[in-house]
Amino acid sequence: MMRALLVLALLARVVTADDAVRKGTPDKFVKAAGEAFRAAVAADQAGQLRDALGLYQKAFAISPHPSTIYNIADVQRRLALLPQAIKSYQMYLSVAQTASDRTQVEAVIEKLGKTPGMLWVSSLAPSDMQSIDLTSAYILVDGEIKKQPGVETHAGPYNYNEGFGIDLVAGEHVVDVVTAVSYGSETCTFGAGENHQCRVKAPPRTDGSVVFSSNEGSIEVRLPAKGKRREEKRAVRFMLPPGRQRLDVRDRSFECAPIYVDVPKGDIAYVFVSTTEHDRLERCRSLKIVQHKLHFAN
Amino acid sequence: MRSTSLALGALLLGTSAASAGPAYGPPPKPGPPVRKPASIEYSAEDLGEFAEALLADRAGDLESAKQHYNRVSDDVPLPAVLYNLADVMRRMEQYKAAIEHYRKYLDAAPEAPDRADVEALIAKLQQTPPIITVDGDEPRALVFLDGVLVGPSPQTIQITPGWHAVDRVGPETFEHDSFEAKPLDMMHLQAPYRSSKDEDGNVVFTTSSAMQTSGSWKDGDRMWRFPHRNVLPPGRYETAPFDGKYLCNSVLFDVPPGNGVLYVYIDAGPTPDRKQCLPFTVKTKKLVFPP
Repeated sequence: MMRALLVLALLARVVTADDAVRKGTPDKFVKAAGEAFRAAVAADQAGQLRDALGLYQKAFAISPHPSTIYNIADVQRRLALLPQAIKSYQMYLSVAQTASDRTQVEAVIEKLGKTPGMLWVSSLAPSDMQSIDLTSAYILVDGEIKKQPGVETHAGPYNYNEGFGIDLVAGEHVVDVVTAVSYGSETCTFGAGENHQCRVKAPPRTDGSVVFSSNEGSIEVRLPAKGKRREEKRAVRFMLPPGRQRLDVRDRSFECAPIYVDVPKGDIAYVFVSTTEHDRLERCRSLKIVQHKLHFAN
Repeated sequence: MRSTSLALGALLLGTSAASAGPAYGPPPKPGPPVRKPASIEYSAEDLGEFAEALLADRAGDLESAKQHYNRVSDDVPLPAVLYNLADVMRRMEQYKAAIEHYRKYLDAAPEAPDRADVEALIAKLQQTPPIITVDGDEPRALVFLDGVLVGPSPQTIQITPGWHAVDRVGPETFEHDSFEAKPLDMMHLQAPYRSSKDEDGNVVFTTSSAMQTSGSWKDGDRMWRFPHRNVLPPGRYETAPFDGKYLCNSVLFDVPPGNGVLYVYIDAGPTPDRKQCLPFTVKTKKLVFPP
């Protein structure tokens, strides 16, 4: 809800009243902010939201006021600029700690933050040697299977390549694409309500019975040793014999508790490891582990 | 188990358990966020950074929150920003940095109404027990603190301030370290990868932090190394380490028949003392390594 009348009244009071220096703001700035605000209100009421947004922002930059940033958030919301609206609502709460509508605004922020966006998973042009046949692939996002082999892909919206659309909440997501003969992984980020194309590529052939992936570059699995050489990787497909196997996981320079995985005969064991903890902790962080058996028809 | 039954509050606030022997537990969990609001006197740009910091904080991205707070008003330290930075660092378990920023907050806001609360919080944080992480490169190892099996490597535990000995024993490896830990210490004790096979004996011979020495001695026809893994056939053994220079008696223990590794710990107390011989007891434990 726009707060035009309230803010106009407040600005007018600030301009004329003795306590106009309450914020230490010279009159000329308050006056200029008031003029921009009045123009913003007029544009807003005329349905010219882009103009209104620019004018509100001008008013706020000249002389910040809680109701101005609230109106900026409101216009951004109506323009479907959700990440910007979330930030502006948060700015409002940052300065209006005792606002009577605090609970409602927090609810709006939460609701906007959960507005799903669309992640369009595609690959390169088929003529590219690193393109993936998505129709025959598993697509996993953050360790969760989103598409099985055999499910058709579609022509892309906008100018996107052929691919597969997935509704997701905003944020950073790890997209793993596993076929019978290869594996590719990409990390893609988008804001609330946004659409984003995530193009995954892979070598033409990657052998292996285990796929390991994680949401952090520094969380890695130790590959089977070749002689004395030790190697660790974040997103990797490698060979282990069928049966119960131990995966040694490292987080930066720290040892993590091992992960035990049942490697199927003829299929693929998929392991996704994630953490929400920051990377300054002096230990291996708390890890969430998801495992799947990926089956491909011969 | 004595160690895990210790109340977190007691470990945060007191150290009376230190003299009772090895005591450890899970590291303390930082309390919930306590944030201060921005001021309308901030510039629009600063308010934007402040809001980004709060959004990152609420999303659990504390590192980003810290970066955004640090971008708010580089020139003049703003009390609310300093306080919130301290709060983020506290929840990141960066207690020394948190204390430093709480102090900066008090300097920037000498008339702060919550001065007494912040000073009490600083005093409490200063009592944060030492936290150690023991891990290594070789898998399947076991971790001991002061001769007590903590569990499979890796282990992150809070310990009582004072002297301690840590052992990390793997099927073919052995690392020993003794150190003094103080409140607020965060230590990473890491056993490096070793390709040599001279640490694969069937008897791990180790000690508490009191006997801060290492080396070898000859007892009869047998050469002993300490702290070390020794190859010893089943039977009863008695030896006077370093010709009785440090310990008051000979060390006596039995190596049982069968395969496996025996852990022999000479418990001579926590405090290094070279002025007189050390009384001690011997603890042994047959080790079972994780699969």
